[in-house]
Amino acid sequence: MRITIDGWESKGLRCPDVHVNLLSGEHPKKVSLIQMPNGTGKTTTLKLIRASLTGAAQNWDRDSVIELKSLRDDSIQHGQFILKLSIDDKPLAFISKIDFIEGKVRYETSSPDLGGKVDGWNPPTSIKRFLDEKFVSLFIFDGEFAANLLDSRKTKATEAIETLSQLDLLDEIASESESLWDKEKKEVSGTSKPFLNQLKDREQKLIDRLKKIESIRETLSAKDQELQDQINKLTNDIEEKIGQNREIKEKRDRLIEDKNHKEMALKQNVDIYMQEIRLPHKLFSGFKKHLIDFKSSLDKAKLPQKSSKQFFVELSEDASCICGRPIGLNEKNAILKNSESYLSEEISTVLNVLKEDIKEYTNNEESNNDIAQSRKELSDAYKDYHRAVTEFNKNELKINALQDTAYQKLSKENTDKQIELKNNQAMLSQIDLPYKPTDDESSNSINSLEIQLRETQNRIAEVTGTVDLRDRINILKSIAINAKKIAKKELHSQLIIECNNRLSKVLVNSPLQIEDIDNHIKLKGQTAGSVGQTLAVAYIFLTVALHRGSHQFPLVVDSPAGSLEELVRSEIGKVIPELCEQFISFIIDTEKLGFVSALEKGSKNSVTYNTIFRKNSMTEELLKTVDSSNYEVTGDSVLVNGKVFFDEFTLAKEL
Amino acid sequence: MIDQEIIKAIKIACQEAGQDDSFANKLIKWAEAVSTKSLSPMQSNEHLNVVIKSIVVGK
Repeated sequence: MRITIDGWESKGLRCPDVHVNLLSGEHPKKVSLIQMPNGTGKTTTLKLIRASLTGAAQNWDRDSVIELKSLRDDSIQHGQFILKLSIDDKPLAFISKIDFIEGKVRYETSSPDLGGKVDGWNPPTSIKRFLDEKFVSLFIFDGEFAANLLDSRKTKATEAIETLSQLDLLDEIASESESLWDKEKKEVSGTSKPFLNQLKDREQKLIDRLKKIESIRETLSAKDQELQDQINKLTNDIEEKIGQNREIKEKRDRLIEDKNHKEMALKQNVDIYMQEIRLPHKLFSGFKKHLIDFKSSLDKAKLPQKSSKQFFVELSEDASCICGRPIGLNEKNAILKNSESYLSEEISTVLNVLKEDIKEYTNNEESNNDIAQSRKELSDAYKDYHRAVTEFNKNELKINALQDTAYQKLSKENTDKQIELKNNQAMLSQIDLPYKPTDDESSNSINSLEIQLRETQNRIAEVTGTVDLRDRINILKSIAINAKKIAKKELHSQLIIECNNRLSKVLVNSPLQIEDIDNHIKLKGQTAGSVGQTLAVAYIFLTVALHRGSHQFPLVVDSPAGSLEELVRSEIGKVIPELCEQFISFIIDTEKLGFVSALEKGSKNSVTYNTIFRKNSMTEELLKTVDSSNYEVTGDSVLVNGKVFFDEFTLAKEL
Repeated sequence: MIDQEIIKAIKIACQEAGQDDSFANKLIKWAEAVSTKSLSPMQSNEHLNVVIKSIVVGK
């Protein structure tokens, strides 16, 4: 499916009264540039375009509606905004009728499929799923949204992928199946009713608690990442300050190395000691004696050899017994029958292995001394580590005292952040605790809450006779969750590869690569990029993600190139036309350099040029050289079509 | 039409859950119908019931 914006009309609103036509013949050109100085109404125009695409304005409060009113004339009571689209070459228009007295917006929709104009916001079924606020904000956006994609405190990148690829479908499937069970949980009569109600209450408490803890975990995880990034930056800044004094730096580096070395040695000793204390015979010498006695008693009883069932099975196949008597059919059957009373092969094997282990572990005199030795080595390692940490901390205090206020401030901030990170991680570890049978619905552990919820739902299913349905729903939900996990991993991987290919061509002078897309876009080797790099990454990411499906959307951007350096503008400008069917850009005069020429090249000069500005005393002067067929003057504004005026227009000139 | 990766993922997840291709196809069909956002509650319920009844329990 192909969706294009063909133009819009506005009247009586804060944005200019204009009729913008992006069509060139039957289709819009690849690139449409709308040059509007700041304060002309770009933000309002974009807001109305978004609202037309989503139908959101019908739910706006009074203040939000009044905000749209033109400032030119206080007596204006009504305004109108018409957005014209084509859906696979079929026209569609959303007409927003704004009533400033009532403070409401009413929609009309016009389309041949609807038989003309009808009341209400009624997009065709085929595009309805794309016209929600989350989806629309991905192809109509501004610089703030771009920055949010790389912000570790936000989850915009992963939300964008989920929306664009419709991964949330799988969540919807899981949720619908639960709704079915909610309906099918029949009421029961008599004595079971209070019990069922109790179970349902518990179920709801667990669902609510789980949702709350999952949300907290998301916040804590984002905070964890943010703190780690901040600590990394502070550490780098501290290192840089210390690096200015070579002697201090060398001593500090030595102490850090020693501390790390002692910490590793301590960890190794802990591991060894933990292994040793798991062997009971090493922990307690009396246990060793009992093991030896046990083995002796087995040997005395000649176990398992003479009691092995296998022995009798094999004997039954011989022609004669060990006593010499012949074994006929009757004797064979008797032997086989009675062999059941003796030890099976599995038990014999276990006994043999047990005896070997006892022999191995108890005969080794050297290994019996290990635990005392291990304990001493662990104690020594701990003392060494503690000494190294104390030396390091003492040195840090000395450095702190010698350094300036700026350093001390960095050092304190680093310490504070480390404490905050530790507390944050402690809370996270609570959430990741395993289930315990003593847990209840106030647990902070997600694992525990999930298990308790499943158990409660199984109990409800038993009471209401819906065990089979519950089992089916559990299977369906686990399929939906698993499918989402698999698809998400693959989509992320493909997007990263494609984005990095594009980025390596666009950011030649300031190379940047995406390492991962978790909740936000993580860059390789750095926590953040410059404003220009951030914009470049955002464009590439969104256009690659939008380009994935078989559907084509316009890309509408406010101030696309402001903070990009000329070379980056040029590279971005070349690439954007390849990545989307239609690019509409609201631009100010200072953004044109490098960007417009690159767009022209990238789109093979398929560009529409529009300049919109407020009418003022200079207007007549400005329009002197423009052919009258190329401009339109309305009550408050001027719209000029054409490249020449577009190129020459500057804010200074306008003023 | 839903993303190809979602279709592939549904098939893998169904296989891992011990469900056959015919079940996976029913689930994919439902997912595609949901993606249009134009299903009535009754239509959605029908898809859901077909899918639920097709699940093989105890594999």
